[in-house]
Formats: sequence, structure tokens, C-alpha cells
Amino acid sequence: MSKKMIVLKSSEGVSFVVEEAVARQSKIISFLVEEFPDRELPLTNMTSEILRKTIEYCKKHVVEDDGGGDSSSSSSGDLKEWDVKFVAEIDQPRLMDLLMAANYLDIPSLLDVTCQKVADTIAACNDEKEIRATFNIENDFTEEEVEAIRMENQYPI
Amino acid sequence: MDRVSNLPDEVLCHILSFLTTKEAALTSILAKRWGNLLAFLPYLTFDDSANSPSSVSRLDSWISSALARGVSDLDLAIILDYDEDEDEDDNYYQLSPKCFECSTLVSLRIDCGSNIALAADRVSLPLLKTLVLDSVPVCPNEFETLLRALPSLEELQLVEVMWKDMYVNVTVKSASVKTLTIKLNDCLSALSFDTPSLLHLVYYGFVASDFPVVNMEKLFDARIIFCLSEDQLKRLRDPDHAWFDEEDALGYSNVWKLFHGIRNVPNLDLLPDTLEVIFNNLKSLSIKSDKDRGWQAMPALLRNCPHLEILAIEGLVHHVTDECGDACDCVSREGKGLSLTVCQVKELEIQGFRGTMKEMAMIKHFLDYFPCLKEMEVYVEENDPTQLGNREISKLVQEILELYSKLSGCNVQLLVSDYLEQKWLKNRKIS
Repeated sequence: MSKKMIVLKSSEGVSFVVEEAVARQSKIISFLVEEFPDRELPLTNMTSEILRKTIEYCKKHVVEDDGGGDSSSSSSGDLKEWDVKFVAEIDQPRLMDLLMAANYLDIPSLLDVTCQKVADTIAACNDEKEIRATFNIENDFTEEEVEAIRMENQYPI
Repeated sequence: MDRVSNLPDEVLCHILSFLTTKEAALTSILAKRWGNLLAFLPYLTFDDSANSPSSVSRLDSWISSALARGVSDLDLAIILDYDEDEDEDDNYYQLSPKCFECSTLVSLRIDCGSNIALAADRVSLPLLKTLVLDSVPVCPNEFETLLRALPSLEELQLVEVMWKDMYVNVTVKSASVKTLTIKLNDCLSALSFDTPSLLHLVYYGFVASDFPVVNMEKLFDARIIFCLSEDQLKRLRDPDHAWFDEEDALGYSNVWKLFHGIRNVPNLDLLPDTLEVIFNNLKSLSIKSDKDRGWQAMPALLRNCPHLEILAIEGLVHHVTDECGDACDCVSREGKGLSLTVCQVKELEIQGFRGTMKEMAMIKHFLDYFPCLKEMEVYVEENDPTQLGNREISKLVQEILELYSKLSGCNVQLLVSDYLEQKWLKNRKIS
């Protein structure tokens, strides 16, 4: 049986031909495919680069899901490793784009790995100053305000 | 604004959920955008393992702060390190009485590891709808005091509560409670339910020795699951054996009070052990039949009442179903009368007899298959006129029954009430 293909179009107008099973990992695409079969789906807020990355992730995961059966435990371990490498290679701005794409397309597992990466980055910082520096967060608190929050939260150490 | 801070709230919360509470708390001072996100986290986890023993007082202050901020749901599972040298009570977290003085609390769940202390005159939880006590030590008196102070209580769960006191008398008294789940792993001396608004009851576990009060008039469904050990089961099945001492006899002799209390429930769910307890001790059973209702349950019912002696059936005519032909005579089938042959019924009372052929056949069926039957009293229907009003038919029926009586060795009597006799006499005079 030949596999059904669908076409996804990036913001630059580049078309990606993807197996339907791969694309269906996105709940949004899954819904759109059912509503508008045989239509090209324009993803105007995703660059070709991010779309390619997203498809790469989905391809990997759909292959592993197909494998199924007895090898599932080892392959799910491998898959986790693959996920870690996958996000490790991405720089921060692209990680943000990918996270937004996962959120927009509703791909829960991709959202999890990207959020995990951001969380790990926060956890690796020693204090709030380092977090601000890492993510370019501008501190709009006065010192008194910070002190008040500290008092309120007062995490027991 | 930077990329991360620009993410939607739910995505930022999702990121924070991958952090420990301590790490997440640090983000609240990054910028205003992050200030309130912590409040949306579904769980706060405090890893207290590195702390000194003074952490108990800190725990108190956390709970107090939560209560002071108007918390509506409080779910506590506090487990202290077990120390064998300590007094048993010291191994429990002593829950502050303040938990029971809160005007905003709607749901309170106290899990294992906490000890409850009430300041009786100060208990006040006016909005509390749900109370769950799971594996906590509770004093029955304090429990009653607590219930009195819960005017809005709708759901009560008592799961393996460790009732204090030697001879435990527990009373669940609440005018408002609608759902009650009780799971007993102790044998209580007495368990009372004074719950007039109760709709749903789940009872799981040991059978209490007595059920002095069972007030649940509005009950809509009940699920009763008694737990019996193999040993208890053996004793139950062989009550005449020497091992059946007084205590055990007492153990189940009051179960009927519970079932009497819930007799009007439209939906009843019983499990196998429960059936053993109820019906094994049953000596007298009365059944009301209806021409539009089947007797599907009759064979199983009779099979499960091995000590039944007196059976009263009001109305023999019933709706014919697939299960007919065993306890009754409606259809011919294999295993006819099988359930009757294991039943020790000595006296059978039949009400509402109309003298039809079908009923006569049924009476013959009972005489054939009940092995111990000695007395059968057949009462003529007195409210509706029947063909027995006809002197000829009446005489014929009487003769057949006498014949049955002779053949079976069971004393069969046809009985007519005085009222009916008078009526018949009057009618015959007129005609």
C-alpha cells in the first residue's frame, strides 16, 4: 500500500512533502488533514529551517512507534537519548522557535523535550542574575520589590 | 521583551513544572512577567530531606499560611521518620487544631502520618463539603464533635481510619452528608449511621458487631462489600461446629440491622462474601411476587440460604423468564427444582392464592422438590374476587390439596380469612 503524503508549506513558501503518519503527530495537522484532505497546509509562522527540524523530529518518532512490539523498551531508551542530542545541538533562539512550533502545532512530546531543555538551562544557573543574563531577561523590579518577594516566598533553606 | 518571557503563560508554567519548587521559586524575582507564575503551578514539592528536625514547626507555619490565605482545598500526607524509641504518638505529625478552624476550607483530606487533635469548642469549618480521613488515628468522640461542626458536609470518606479506644463505638451523624465511603479494617463493636440525607453508600471491609442505628431513608444506591478471611468463611458455613463460639455468632447476627436500614434502596450492589454473611444465617424469608416481574433471582437466592426454615411467598404468579423452571414450574427444563432440593424449608406460606391451574401446579412442584417441607399454608386472595368464590371450584381445589397432603406427607391447608368467608356467604345467599 502506498503511503499517503501531504504537503506542508513554510513561511518562505517552501513545500515539504511528508508522510501523513509523520505529520499526524501534530494534533493540529491531524485535525486539518481530516477537515481538508488533499490540501496544501500553509504554516505561515514557521520558517523552513524550523519546519525541517520539526519534521525531522516527527519522522524519528513515527519510525520508532512503528517498530513497536518487543523491542519497545530499548528503543524508547534510544529515543530518549536521541531526543537529548536533538535539542542539545540547537542554539537558544532556534530552541525557542522549535518550542513555539511544538506549542503551535500541538506536538506534546516535542513540547516536553524543548521545555525540559529550557528548564535544564534555568536549573544550571547559580542565581537569578545568571538566568537573566542567559535569556536576556530585563529586570523591571526595584530592589525593594525583589526583597518583598523574597520575604513572601521565603523558601526554607 | 526577550524570547522566553514572551512565551504564553501555559508554556512558561510547563517549563517551570520541570524544575524543583525551589528552582521555580527563584524565577519569581527575574522580572514582573515571572512574578505570579509560581501561583499557577499545579504542585509544590518541598524536598525537606536536608533539614533538621525543627522542620515540624516549619510545616506548621506552611499550613497556617495556606489557611490564612484562604485555601479551599487542603490535602495533607505527612510522614515523619519513624523512630522506634519514640512514643507511638510522637511518630505522627500532630496536626494543628487550626486546620479545623477555617472559614474558607471546602475540601480537607488528611492522609496517613498525621494525628488529629481537636479543640472541641473551636472547631469550625462552615464551608467544608468534602472530608477524607485516610489511615489516621481518630478518637470516635472527637469524630462526632467534628461532624457536628460541619454543616455543609456532603462527602465523607473514612478509609481505614485507626479508631482509638478499646471497644469502639463509631457514630456517623450528619444531617447533610450525601456520599459516604467507609472502609473498615478493624472490627468495630458498633457502627451507627444517622445520616438522613445520604444518597450513596459504599461499605467495604469488616462487619461491625452491631449496627444500632441505621438511618438513611433517602439512600439511592449502596455497594456493600464485606471482607471475610478463609477462616471466617469456614466458620460461617458451618455454624453448628464447635469452633463457632459466642463471639463469632455475635459477629454477624446483627448484620440484618444494616440491611433493614437500607431496605428501601433502589440500587444495591452486593459482593460474594457479603451474600455469604447475609443469607447464610437467614432462617425466615418473605418474598412478594408480581405478575409482571420475573423470578430470575429465585434459584440463586434459595441456593444461598442453606439454613432457611420459613419461606413466605405472596403471589405465585410471576413473569416467565429464561430462569424459570427451577424454583418454579413455569417451563420444563433440565435441573428442574434443583434449587429447592438444597433448601431446608420446613414451612411454606403462600398468600394471595387464586385457585388457578398454574398455582396448583406450582404447589405440587414445591411439594415434590422441597425435601424437608412439613407445613404448607395456602391463603386465599381476599381483596380481588377469585374463582374460589364459586362453591364447586372451591370444593374441587380443596379436594386436590387434601390429596396432595396425603401423597406428600406435608400438611397442606387451604385457609380463608373470616372476612372473606363472610363475603362468600353473603354472595351465595344473594345468588
